[in-house]
Amino acid sequence: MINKMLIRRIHTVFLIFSISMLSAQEAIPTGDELIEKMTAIMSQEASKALIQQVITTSSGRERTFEFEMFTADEGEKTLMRYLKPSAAKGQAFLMLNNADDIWTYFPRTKRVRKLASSSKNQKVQGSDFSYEDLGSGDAWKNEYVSTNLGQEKYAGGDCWKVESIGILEKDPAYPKMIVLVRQSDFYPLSIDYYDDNGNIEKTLILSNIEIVEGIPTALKMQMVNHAEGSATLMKTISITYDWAPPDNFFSERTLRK
Amino acid sequence: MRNKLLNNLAVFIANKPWWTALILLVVTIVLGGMSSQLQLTTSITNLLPQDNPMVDEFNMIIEEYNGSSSMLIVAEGEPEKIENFAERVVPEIEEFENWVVRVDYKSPKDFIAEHGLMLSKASDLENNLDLFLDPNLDEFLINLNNSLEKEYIQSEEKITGQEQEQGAIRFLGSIQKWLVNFNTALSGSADGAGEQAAEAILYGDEYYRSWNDRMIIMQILPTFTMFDLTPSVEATNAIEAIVHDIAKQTDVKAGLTGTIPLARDEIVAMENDSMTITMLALIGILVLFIVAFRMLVSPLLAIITLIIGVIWALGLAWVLVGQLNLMTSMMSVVLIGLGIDFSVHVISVYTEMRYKGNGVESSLKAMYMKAGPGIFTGGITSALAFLTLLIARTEGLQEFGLTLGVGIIMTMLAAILILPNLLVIRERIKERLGRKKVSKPRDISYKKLGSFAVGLSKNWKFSIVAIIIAILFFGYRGSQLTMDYNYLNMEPEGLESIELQDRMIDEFGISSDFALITAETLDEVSIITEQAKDMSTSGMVQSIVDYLPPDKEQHHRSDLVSYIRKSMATSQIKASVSFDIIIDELYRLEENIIEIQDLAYIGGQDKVYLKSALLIGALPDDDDPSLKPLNIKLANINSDIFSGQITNILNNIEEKLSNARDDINIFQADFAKAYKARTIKMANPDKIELKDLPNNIKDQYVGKSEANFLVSIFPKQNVWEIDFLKRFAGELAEIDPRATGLPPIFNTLMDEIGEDGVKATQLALIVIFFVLLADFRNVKKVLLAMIPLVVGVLWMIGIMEVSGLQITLLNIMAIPMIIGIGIDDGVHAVHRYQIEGAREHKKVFASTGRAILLTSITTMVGFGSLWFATYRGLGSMGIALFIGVGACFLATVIVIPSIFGTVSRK
Repeated sequence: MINKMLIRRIHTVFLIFSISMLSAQEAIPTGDELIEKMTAIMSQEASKALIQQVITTSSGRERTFEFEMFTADEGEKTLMRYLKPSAAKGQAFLMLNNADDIWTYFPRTKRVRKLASSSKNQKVQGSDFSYEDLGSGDAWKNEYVSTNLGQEKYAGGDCWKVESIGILEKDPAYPKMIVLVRQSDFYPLSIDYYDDNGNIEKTLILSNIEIVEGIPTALKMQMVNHAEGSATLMKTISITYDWAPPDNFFSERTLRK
Repeated sequence: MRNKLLNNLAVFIANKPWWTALILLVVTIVLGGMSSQLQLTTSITNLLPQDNPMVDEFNMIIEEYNGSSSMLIVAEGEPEKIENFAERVVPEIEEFENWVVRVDYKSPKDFIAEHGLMLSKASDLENNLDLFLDPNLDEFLINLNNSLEKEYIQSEEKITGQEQEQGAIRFLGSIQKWLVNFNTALSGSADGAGEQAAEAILYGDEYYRSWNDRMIIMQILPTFTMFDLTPSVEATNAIEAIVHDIAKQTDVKAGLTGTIPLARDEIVAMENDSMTITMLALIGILVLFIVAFRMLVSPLLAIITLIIGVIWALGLAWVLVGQLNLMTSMMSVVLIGLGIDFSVHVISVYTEMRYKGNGVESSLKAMYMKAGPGIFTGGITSALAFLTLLIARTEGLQEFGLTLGVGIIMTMLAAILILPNLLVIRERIKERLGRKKVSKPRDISYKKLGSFAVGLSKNWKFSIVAIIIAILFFGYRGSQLTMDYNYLNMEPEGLESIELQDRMIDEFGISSDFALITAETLDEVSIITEQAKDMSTSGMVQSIVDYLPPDKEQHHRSDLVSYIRKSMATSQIKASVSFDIIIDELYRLEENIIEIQDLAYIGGQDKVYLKSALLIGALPDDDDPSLKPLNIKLANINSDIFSGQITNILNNIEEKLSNARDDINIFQADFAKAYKARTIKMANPDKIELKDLPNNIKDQYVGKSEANFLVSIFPKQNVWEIDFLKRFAGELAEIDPRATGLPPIFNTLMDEIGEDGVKATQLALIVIFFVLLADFRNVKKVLLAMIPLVVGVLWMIGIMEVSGLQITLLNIMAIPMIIGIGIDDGVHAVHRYQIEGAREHKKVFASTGRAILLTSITTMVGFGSLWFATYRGLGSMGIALFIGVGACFLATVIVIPSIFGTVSRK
């Protein structure tokens, strides 16, 4: 009798333990789920921002630009127009189809030129960002398979560490990325971009994260290029997500304005 | 046993001084003879483990190519003047047949004229195909604009890398030269302008010039390497004299840079330094002795002892290692700094005993009994600390440890054999001269130092708190110590070779110290070349594939080249061209270059910006501080920076509209004819074979055995800046672990030395512990002797930071060295406590404290003299050791009485 009771109690304890384990397992999101949630926050329907960018020139001097940046269709369309310094004023870039098509406008010659499709993976105007880093849209979801590697503390907060491996057939920009996603709101705090040799090529650090119109937004983004020993800082001076692009905004006509 | 031996030694030396002197003289003559055989080698590969693949590769390259070491002439001035300088200086330098194989300063124009198009990539030929199909001026300009739009504007990647930036500059340079000739024709002097304009486009610039055409580089291929010291100095001096002389005559500024001139500068600086510093150290120590001991002869005897000790050490170094390397070359200075300590202890106790009225023999015996154990233990521990470097993987460090370890023992033996002998002989001579007057007994101990120790031991609580605060403060400041790992900052200030290297990096984006990889097949060379061009740290890559593309690639190109040849051959030269088209296309050319400039500006490609500004003018810099210095550079060339050559030509045409049509047609006739003929010749589809290459190209890229090919990779920044060097070496290793040359070898050497240094330091501490344990037979006493060393090293690092010093490549070696040096103070103090008793602070520090103060100051003077070295690396090491020895002394006189204070209270 005692034995039976004991066995029953052990069964009960085991059952409770198994259920709790199961529910705990269910609570851990998969890598793809995390990337889905992260890109949902990152890729807002549309935005309009004023950005300051500091690059290092080939002779080691720092050059500061200010440009306005418009995005739509969750980042699939992007338009950047330089405002400062006066030497760059009016020069503009239009990126469509997740930066597969890039046009640039030169105000001094009043001509628009289409850049080669291979430019997608190239650095944007002397910065450590590539066109794809700026206008990747759904690329992360579609071109990578992600795995949740577990929890990690970063910048004083609990994060999920997610590894994304590029699908070769889809020609991803990077063979591998590792992102630390904040558990509280699924916002990324750090992204390591790997090269073909398995080395970390660049690291994007997102900080000064503030809630803008209810959406977490990093006002400071620093891309550290480990291969070249350089870094590019992008500061968001102002941003709004409450902006709807007028008809045919992402067009050559707007580019020329 | 030890005491009995020392006692017998004292008796022998006191009673048989002349026999002792004779024996020591014979030993000195033998070892002196050996030391004169020592040679200096500066081979950096000798310092590395010989199983390292890059050492084999480096030695093989020296054997096969000679040219692993660079000697470059850099000339600056007006474009025509530097051309004149180059044409005059090269034949004169090539007359030094013993030293110079040849001088490379021009591209092989004849070879390019015959095979130029086969040397262009198939993709480039496809992009620029139209440019080679029609020689007429109007069609040429249309095709040039089409090509520019394809090449640079519609594909931004074309100017984003260093290699691409250089390519863009070269292409813009060709356009610039074409425009200069076109403008000349418009001014009515058309003779040869068309022909030169055609060559500017097809052949490019013969010289290797900077963006503004005001600097050129010429490479001297020597018959020797930088490791051959005599020719490095003699050849550099002779060539430099000619370079300076002709530069003066031709009104340009020119000089030498590269590894060989830099090695020459180092050797000259080190030679000058070693004499000056040794003299400074010896004089400083002598003066200190005279002041401290208030006597003249004894210090002179100590210096003689020291010099003999160093001769013994150098003699044994020849037996043990045969030659001095870059690290062991400074062993004399280190031994002077360290070896003098033993003599200080000998003289200190001997004179103390003599002043107390003791006889010669009893003073000698007392000296051996009181100072002997400390000298032995201190000497052995210091020597063992250096000998632990025998575990190092790097041969250079092994030799450094061996020669210095043995050298310390030699100077110690000299101090306990020669100095007492000289002191006794001096007494005998005085006796014979009838000057047997014994000095009035007097106390020469440092009573104040003794009282200071007593004070500390009485107030041990306060002392220990103060020591802990000092440890925390200096420990924290030490953790903030920054590093200056730029190797060139170790060199003497104001060297022309370094100044020119910096100018080269600034103007060309390449450093003169390059890396090398060999490959056995052309395909392999091609792959390595492409990978090297993709390196984020490479500024320029040179290989045989620039002149001998792989067969497969040549096959691809030959069809296109044949097509160009046929098309050009069938083209007709027009008698006149459409004036309107020419004007339109010139405006289009201006627009294209404006767009290139805009992309270069926002892309941060400064040299492309500058080059394009020469053609179409500068951008406004009112609100961009990064643009101002670039526009200042432009203002040095052209007073009106906002108008470029194209703008001027377009104005010129409008001003001279009436004649312009005729002038353009004259130019068209010349240009089209030359362009057609040269393109047909260049479009030679025949396969290029190794035998077709000019000898100067073969020598440069093909090994003597013709079994391998050389790829040279020039870094794009100062490669001696450590962060950059690490990235450069890392990228090279990914391409091929055999990648060699001075930068990667130096990087590996630093890693190896770093690892060896840490291991040797750990082992030294263990060895010191056990040696002291064997000596004291008491763990507490061992720890007591070692604590001042640990505290002293912490304080040393903290004081360095507070003094604004940085860790350098050389002074980092001071930290393991101080382990061997700094331990002595604690050993002597604890030994004296062992003899006098734990409460005898005054006696211990008034006497032994005086000795360790004097040894510390003499060592500090010895190392401190390095501060005056023009070779700044030695200076940085000298000052670190100066601080380290001082810190260890302070730690000994403060920490030991404080700790003994706690014991004696109990």
